Amino acid sequence: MLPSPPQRDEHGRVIPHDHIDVLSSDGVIRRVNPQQHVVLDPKSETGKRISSIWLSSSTGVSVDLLRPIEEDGVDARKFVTTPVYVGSVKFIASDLRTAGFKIGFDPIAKDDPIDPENPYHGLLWGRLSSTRFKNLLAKAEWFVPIEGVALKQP
Amino acid sequence: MNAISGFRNSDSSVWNSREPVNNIVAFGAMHRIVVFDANYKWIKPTKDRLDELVSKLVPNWDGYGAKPVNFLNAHFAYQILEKVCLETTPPPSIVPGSAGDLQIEWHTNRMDIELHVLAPNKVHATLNLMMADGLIREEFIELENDFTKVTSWVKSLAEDDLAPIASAA
Repeated sequence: MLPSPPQRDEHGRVIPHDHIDVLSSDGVIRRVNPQQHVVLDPKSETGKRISSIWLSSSTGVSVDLLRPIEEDGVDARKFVTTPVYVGSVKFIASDLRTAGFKIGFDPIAKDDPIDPENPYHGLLWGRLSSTRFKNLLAKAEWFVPIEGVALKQP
Repeated sequence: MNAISGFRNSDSSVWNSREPVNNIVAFGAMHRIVVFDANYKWIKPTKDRLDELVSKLVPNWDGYGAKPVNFLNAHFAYQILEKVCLETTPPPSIVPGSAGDLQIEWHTNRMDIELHVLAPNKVHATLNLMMADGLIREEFIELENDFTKVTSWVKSLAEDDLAPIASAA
C-alpha cells in the first residue's frame, strides 16, 4: 500500500516531512549512475567510490521506497534500473533517520511535465557531514552493485 | 617594474630564452609579449569535464529527472579553480548534483577536499585530513567569494603526495 499523499506548497512541491508510513525497518533505495557519481580515491578498497554529492541536495535527495514497490508485486531491481542503466544502494529507514534525514513521500505522476513517472518516489531532507556520510554507507548495502566500486568509505 | 604578474625581467637568461615564464614569453628586448593559455595539467581535463556536464549530460541522467549542470555554476567552479590551483595541482574529480549543482573533489591518501558549488557565490567546502595520530580532522566552511582557506588546502595536496601516511606507519 502506498503511503498517504503528502502535503504540497502553492507550487506543487512536497513540503519537507518525515512520513509516518515509512516504517523504521523499510528499505530505501538510491540509484547510482556509475559514469557520474563515482570518484577515484586511493584510500578506497578498489580505488573507486561514490561521491558524497550523491546524498546531498538542497531540494531533497530522490529515492525509491522499497516496501510499496514490493507490495505492488513489481520487480524492484528492474524498476530502479529502468530506463537508465544504474546501480543502486539500499538503506534502512532507521539508519537514514539516525543520520539526520527526514524521509518523505513524493509520488510523481505520469503526466508530470518535468520528472519521470515514479509512484514510489521519496525524498530525503537533511545534510550529512563527511563522517556521517561514511557511517551511513557502512550500514548500507548494494541493491544493484557496480563492479569495481567500493560502497564502504575509507 | 613590470605590470604583468609573474614577469621575471630581472633574469636575463629567462628573459631571452623564449621559454614560458608563468605563461608569458618575452621576445628580445620587450618588443612583443605573448600570453599563452596556461599549460597547467588540471586545465584541459577540467574544461573538458565541465563542458561535458553542461552540454552533454542528458536530462534524467540519475534516473530521477536530474538536470544537466547549470552553466553559471560550471563557470563559477572554473573561476574558483583558476584562483586556488597551482601548476602542479592534479585535475580534480567533478561530480554533478541533481539540481544543476556540482562538486569539485580531490582525494589523496591523507586528504579529502570537496567544494560543493550550489550556486555562484554559494559554496560548501569540506576538508578531511588524517592527522599523525590517525584521527580525522574535519573542517566545513560556507563560502561566497573568499577562497583563501581553500587555496591553502589545495596547496597542501602536493605536499601530501610526498608525505608518508601516518596511519600506515
